[in-house]
Amino acid sequence: MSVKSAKSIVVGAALFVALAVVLCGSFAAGFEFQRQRRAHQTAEAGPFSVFWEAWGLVERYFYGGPPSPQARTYGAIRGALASLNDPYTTIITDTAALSPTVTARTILTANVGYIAIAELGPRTGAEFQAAVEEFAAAPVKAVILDLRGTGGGYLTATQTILDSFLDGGTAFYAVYRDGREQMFTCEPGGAMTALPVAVLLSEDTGGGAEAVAGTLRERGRATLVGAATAGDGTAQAAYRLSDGSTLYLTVAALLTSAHHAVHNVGVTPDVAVKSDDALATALDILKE
Amino acid sequence: MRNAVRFTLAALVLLVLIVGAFCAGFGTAYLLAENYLLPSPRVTVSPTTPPPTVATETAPAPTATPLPTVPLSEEDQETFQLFWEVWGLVQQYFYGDLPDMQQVTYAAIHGMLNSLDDPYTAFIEPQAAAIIAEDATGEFQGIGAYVEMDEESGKVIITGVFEGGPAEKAGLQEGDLISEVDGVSIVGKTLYEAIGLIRGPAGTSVTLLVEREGVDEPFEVTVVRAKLEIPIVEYKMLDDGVGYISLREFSATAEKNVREALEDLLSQEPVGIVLDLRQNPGGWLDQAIGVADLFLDDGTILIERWSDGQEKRYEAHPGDVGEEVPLVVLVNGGSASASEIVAGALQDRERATLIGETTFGKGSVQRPFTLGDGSELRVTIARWFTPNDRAIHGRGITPDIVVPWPEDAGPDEDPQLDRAVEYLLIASGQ
Repeated sequence: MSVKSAKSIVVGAALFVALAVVLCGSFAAGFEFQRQRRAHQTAEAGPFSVFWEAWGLVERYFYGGPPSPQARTYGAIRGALASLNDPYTTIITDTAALSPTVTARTILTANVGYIAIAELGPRTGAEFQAAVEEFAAAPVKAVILDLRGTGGGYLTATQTILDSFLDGGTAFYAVYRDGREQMFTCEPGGAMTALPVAVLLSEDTGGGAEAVAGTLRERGRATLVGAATAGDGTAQAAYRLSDGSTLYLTVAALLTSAHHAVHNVGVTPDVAVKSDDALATALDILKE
Repeated sequence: MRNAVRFTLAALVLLVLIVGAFCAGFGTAYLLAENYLLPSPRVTVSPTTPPPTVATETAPAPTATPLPTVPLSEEDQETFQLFWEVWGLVQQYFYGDLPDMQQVTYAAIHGMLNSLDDPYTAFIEPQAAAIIAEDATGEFQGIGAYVEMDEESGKVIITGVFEGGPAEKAGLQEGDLISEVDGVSIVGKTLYEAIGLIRGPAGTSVTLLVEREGVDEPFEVTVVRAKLEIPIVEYKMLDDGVGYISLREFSATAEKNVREALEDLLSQEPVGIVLDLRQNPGGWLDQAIGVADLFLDDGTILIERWSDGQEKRYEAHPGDVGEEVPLVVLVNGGSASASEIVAGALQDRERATLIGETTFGKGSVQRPFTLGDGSELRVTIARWFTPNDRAIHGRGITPDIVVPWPEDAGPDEDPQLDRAVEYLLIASGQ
């Protein structure tokens, strides 16, 4: 073998090594470039990017395929609303699924109308009016409004209830987060403006029910019987969403007609008894 | 002139090669992120997370696994606009404090997963994910106690201590309530936050404020942390010459621990072996396959099937220590997932007699993904079937000999184990 060919082998080998090094370097650069690019993208996407990671993985891997994007979106909304820790802020996608909130009957022995409200929700106003019409058909001498355990404070339902008992004037005030205050009033007239009323309260009466109780007493329309209330005192408004579903959102704290706060304060009864005994006590009071 | 052309050509070729290599590197990183080459899909299989074991400092957040960025379809994005519509209203009008965006994100993920109606597809927040990942390795650094959250008091309750572990040495007992860790109250914290405080590097110490029934005042206990292996196997030679092995969960060392126990017992020439999988909630799939393989020479252990009908078979390999010895497997309603895989395989292959009660019935496969912020998403990806193609999910495995647990059983009684021993003795002709 000549020196020359030996030399060219060495040169060739050196060139080959140099080429390999350059190519490896180039590969590494490309790899790193994409890695950095991706890390940057993730960082820029903000905290919510984790949600999209989860969404994508579920879409790609979930056994049997995930439910529709709409169902998953509702799920995400329900989850996010749950993080507010407020049971009355909800999304309703099917109003037919709402359970009735008002029960009414006549206590025949005493000729007293009895209305219990489980929750001041979106349909409560209409249900309440239907109950009131029943009493009009079978005239009663007095009314017991059972607000024991009543939660929620859908603004229009709260107004409807007060409107039945009050002949015009102030119903309550709502104070929004930005400090803005809105006065809700009653229409003149009303189905039960002349009947004596007893309102039953318990430790877990909250929201609009507290404003109803406080206002009825201030306006001289009711005796409050039972236990001091929770002091939740917040109210919900409804927002129609673009897909036809409705968002019920806690938007305000309530004040009574005389501008007394119930949020964080609650309402104390006129006649303090255990909430379980409140109905019997109220019947006694109304008989007098 | 010719040289110049040659040179240009060479330079061009070189350039093309360099650009090609760069693209190859870019593509590799991209594909890695697209998940084609994710580290082996280890599969978790616990229906309920095994009781978290107290021990190490807030373990370092695991490095994020490169994740597939599934491009969002426009339709999905459009549908999801409703979420922002709602959240916009909340931000504008909600009366009350808004949680920070990270909490909202996690809550949205939980809610989205709820819509799947599958309790095993789960999202685990970063701190809990780190602790669970550490536990799954089979060892951790801490005090060596099993803990749970006492719902009523919001404090951490000790449900057991490791034999000879630091907690036991320091005098901690089952039933003790921990209210403070190094002066920090844990009331209002999650279980995993509390565990994060209690765990820490071996050799360091931690001071716990402990409440104990019968002791009026809370008192302090200082424990020196150690590196501990989670005791998952207990074994012994019973009086009748029957070897007994109990496996608490299928963590990363399950196969190794069972094999060692088996080797020790077999050297004492037992009449047979009882493998106790009662109350074993599961763990890693590879460990389940490994444990089943210890007793099988060849053939199928498990069929994993995706919803599109594709399947994967896991096979046994000959040459293990436990392939000949007479075997009884004890199961009950708390035997789930990996336990059901082992029991189902050994029953179908007629390698063991199952005694006890029908198992839990969790035969779905979860694949864990680490998300960008260290949290973990477990997605149900497949179902499991026994070698004879029996579904495990929703059905469980029914034992060959059903022995219900009597309600009035005393603390030292174990009629299911007694039946297993009797069975092995009769089978061996003794």
